[in-house]
Amino acid sequence: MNKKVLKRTTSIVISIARWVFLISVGYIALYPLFVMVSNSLMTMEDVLDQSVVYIPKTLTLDNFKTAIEKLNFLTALKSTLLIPVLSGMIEVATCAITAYGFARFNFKEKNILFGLVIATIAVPSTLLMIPQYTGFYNFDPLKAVTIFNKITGGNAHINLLNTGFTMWLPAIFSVGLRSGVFIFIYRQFFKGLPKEFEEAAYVDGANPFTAFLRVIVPSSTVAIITVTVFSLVWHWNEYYITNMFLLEDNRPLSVMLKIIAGDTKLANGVRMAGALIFIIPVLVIYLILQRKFIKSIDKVGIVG
Amino acid sequence: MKTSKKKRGIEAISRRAGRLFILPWEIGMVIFVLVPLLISVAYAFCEVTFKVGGMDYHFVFLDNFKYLLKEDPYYTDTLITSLTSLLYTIPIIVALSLILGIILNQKFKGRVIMRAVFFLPVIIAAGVVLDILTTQINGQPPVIQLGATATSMSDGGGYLDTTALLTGLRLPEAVTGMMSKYITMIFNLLWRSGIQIILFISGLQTIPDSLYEVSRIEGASKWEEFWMITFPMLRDVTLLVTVFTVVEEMVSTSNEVMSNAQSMISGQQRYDMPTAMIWFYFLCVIIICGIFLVPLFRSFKRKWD
Repeated sequence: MNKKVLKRTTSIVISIARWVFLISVGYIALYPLFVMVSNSLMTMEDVLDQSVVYIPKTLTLDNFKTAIEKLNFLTALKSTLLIPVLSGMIEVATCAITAYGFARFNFKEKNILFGLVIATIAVPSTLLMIPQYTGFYNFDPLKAVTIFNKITGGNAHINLLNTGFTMWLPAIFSVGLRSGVFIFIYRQFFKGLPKEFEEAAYVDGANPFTAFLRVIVPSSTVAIITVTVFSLVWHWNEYYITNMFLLEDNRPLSVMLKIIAGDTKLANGVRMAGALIFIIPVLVIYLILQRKFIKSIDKVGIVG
Repeated sequence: MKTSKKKRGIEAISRRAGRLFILPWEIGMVIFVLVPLLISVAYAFCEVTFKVGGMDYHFVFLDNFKYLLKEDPYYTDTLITSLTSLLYTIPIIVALSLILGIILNQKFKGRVIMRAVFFLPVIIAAGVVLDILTTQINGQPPVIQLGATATSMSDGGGYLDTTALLTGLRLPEAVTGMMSKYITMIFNLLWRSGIQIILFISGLQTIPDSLYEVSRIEGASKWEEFWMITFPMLRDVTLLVTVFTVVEEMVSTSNEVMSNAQSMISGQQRYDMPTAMIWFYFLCVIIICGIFLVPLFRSFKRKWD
């Protein structure tokens, strides 16, 4: 009897401790969102008024109006979707293909090359950006254009800067933004799938590629959703590459937001409103995918 | 004889198919990663100047590095600060996210909501929004403070006014300062462990329940369970999380070496010196990680295949 009481009290104490810990930590996670909402709805007087802490005296949407105008919202949204987000979605597909090659087949140089995948996760992108910049300005992979010019005697010059190709091309070859992480996640998942899946397909006369498309892809929705969410968030937020490679009307929302952030003439509320406008689309998509995503996180074995 | 021939045939097909699957990646790797990486190594050993229609390289060998280490008034200081802060931030981030991952993996009411809350930093902390939240503008304090440099909470902003709380305890000023510094630091680090928590949760999910059942039958305590089952099973995830955290911390804007190099690139349009700065820093990080992670890496490699 006594033992039972003791057990019950310990479990209650543990659950209280857990909630205290989670709420205090959750507060840290939610706090900035809270401040952003509160500041973006305040007028300038409220900001300066010491008695106003979080709840503004007069609600105003002027900050949002200014922010949308300054962000050049529709144009920037269009280029965000067309350039970073599209390349993110391309990566979801191409990284799966690469990862499948690493997960299921045996060839001599496999381990060295996979080590290279891990190494790319660790290379700071700042190191690559300048050489990539000059490379895109005079796009000449493996001197193909130079050779072409020599043969034809022409003077062809391909400048990919300020076009979507600066992000699409690396994504197509699965070496885009954080693709190393995606290849790693996919590979671990594919290794966990039973081999009988493909063997059955091979018996039915499939080759490795049709087996991948018809058997592996349909049974990997969980991994695909996980990678999609990560890819979407990272590409939406991407700022350094897009800031360097894209100009004027091609600038995505993240770069426009950075410009607003640096504008000292603007009120703080405008910056907060801009930040809110920026994160709301991703937040909404995340909340929609959330249940599926959390479930999929449960299932994607990062451990092999 | 016949079967071995057939087997070899299947292996050959498997080899060829595998190579075909990774062929696009290999091409991209050469064009978009390896070649630029080699060029950036060249930048570090050259003096790069602009001329009409391109850039001029003048090979100076180690001069850039000599300048950085001997003459540059800031570089060695920022390098040492950054490296030492890596030494304590990374273990704390990994440990905190492991603890939170374990808690969030337990079955309790409201865990779906809590997990959603912990995904928020992943969305916000990944980029420019964090810059807005952490920079000071128009004399207003930043919403949150990040990095080892954020030591003072007394100028307002931030989560809790810990300084006021601690002065209430009438402790010596040095102690109060230290304590509020550490509290702030832990808050900051928590804010940066969103993805790590998710990775740990996913790792925990793959540990079969049967292992815990066996240990319970054998009469192991929760503490023994953690060290004998949970921790060894999470070895690979821990390594991934550590590598990921090292990279994130290394390139984050709160890191002075990185931000100085970046402002040099965009501000002064100089390529040689910042590349040298980053390469030297990168090498230091690799050496330090090597010293600490080699034992972990060995066990990881054995498990790769």
